[in-house]
Parts: sequence; structure tokens; C-alpha cells
Amino acid sequence: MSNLMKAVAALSRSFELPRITAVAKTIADTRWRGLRIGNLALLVPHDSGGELLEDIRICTLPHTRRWCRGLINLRGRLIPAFDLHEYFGITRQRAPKQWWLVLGNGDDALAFPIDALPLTLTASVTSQVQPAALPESLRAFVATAYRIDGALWLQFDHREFFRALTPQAAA
Amino acid sequence: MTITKILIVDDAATDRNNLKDIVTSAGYVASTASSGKEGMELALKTKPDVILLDILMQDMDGFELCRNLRANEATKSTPIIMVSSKNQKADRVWALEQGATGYVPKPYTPKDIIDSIRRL
Repeated sequence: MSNLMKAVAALSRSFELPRITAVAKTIADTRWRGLRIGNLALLVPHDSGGELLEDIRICTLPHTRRWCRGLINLRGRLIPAFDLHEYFGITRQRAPKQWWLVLGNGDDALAFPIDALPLTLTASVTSQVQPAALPESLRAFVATAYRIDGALWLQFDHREFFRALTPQAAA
Repeated sequence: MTITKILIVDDAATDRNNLKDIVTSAGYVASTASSGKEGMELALKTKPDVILLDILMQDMDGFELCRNLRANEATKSTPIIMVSSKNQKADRVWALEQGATGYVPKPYTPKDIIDSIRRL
């Protein structure tokens, strides 16, 4: 009995609270890059690399699909330029300029037109929602969706999409 | 903020030396790197107060280096001023999206560079 602490001493001990850092990290806000292609609002990882271009020159390629606009020369790197509006069958929005986004690095990079300047967005799991009906050609590449500031943004696996798209470019 | 050390990253020797002359004339201590890779190494080694960064470089462009600097704990808060001949709105927007603090288009005057540093 002598090993037992007195009740007052036991209750006045300081308790080490369980560490919750790991949990906090999983629900922490995630930064995304928001891209608009027609009425599609897509989220790609913020560190996806790439470059934003305007007034680009495209070298067309024969015997390719309509959405394959050709190749652009980005400081000696040849990058496929695909018109995703055409591919998804969606209307281009009226924008003051035609911006092209090169997304990805090295051989995985691909350029496509976007309808607005990219945004940095923050999404948390609390804003996660089920994506609504999506075009068939997009469905396999959208993992989930987030509602951010009232708009629905689709989390887009651009790497897998690019890998699937490139072999289809030949007519 | 107190600014003493400035790292200049540019693969063109003329631009590099010109920027070095401008900042040393204003009393700053300059170090230079001639590639993105060397720029990253020097940024980690010398811990500059400001980085002047070119975009169009051969091995690693300024956008990529900017992303790498922002992703590194040691350099994530270091102010980065892009100094580039790319001077379309898209370039400026993209540079700021990648984490740049400021943007000075070429051609620039010494005042443009010094003002951009003093504004930090």
C-alpha cells in the first residue's frame, strides 16, 4: 500500500497529452493550383512545375487528331500542345488573352490552353464533396472534388491523364 | 529588413557582372552563381538576404530554382527578385505564383534593381 500515491498527489501530476501532430498534418489544408478549361475547374498539385505562356508559336503536325495542335519549342525543348477544350468538347470562355500552360517536367510536360490565369487555392478535407457527372474522358482522372468559395474544383491527376492522352494523338 | 548579402543567379556573364556592379556600388555584398544548380548550392551555403534570379537559364530555369528554393526549409522565406527579359504579363504572374517576391524586367536601370531591393 505504501507504493500507492495519495489521491491529491496523483491528481496534481502533469499529464503528457497525446501527440496529435500526425493527425493534424493529414487534415491540414493542402495547396493546389487551380486551372480553368472552359467550364471545368481543375486542381493540380501546387508544385507541379511548368510555365505560363502567351503568344506562343505552334508547329503543326500532320496526321494527328484535331485536338493535337502540334509542338511548341520552349527554349529548345519540344513540348506537345494539346487543345483540351477540343478534346473534352467544351466551349472556350471569353478571355482577354490566350494563355497556354506548360504543366509537368521533362518528357512528361504538356502544353494546353487555359481560360484564366492559374490560381493558388487551399482545400481541406472538410470542403471535399462528391464530383458531379463528369465527361467520360475525364472521369478516370478525377479522384475527388472540393468546394472552394462556392465553386466546384476537381482534383485532377494530370500525369496519368497526359500518359493516357499522348498515344491517342495520332489520327 | 536588414539586407547585406545578395546572391545573383544568371548564366550570362555580362548580366551577372552588371548586377554585381550595381549591388556592390550600393553597398551590398554580392555572390554570384552561373547556373540554377550552383545557385541552389550557394543559397544554402551562404544564406543570402536576397536572391536576384534570372529565368532563362540552360540547366535549371529560374522558375524551377524558385520552386526548389521555396520548397527548402532553409530558403523558403528568402526574398527572390526575378530579373528577366521575359516581360509579358504571364511571366510576371507565373513568377509570383512560383514564390518570387518581386520582378524586374530587362532592360533595367541600376535604380530599378536597387529600388526593388529596398522595397523588401
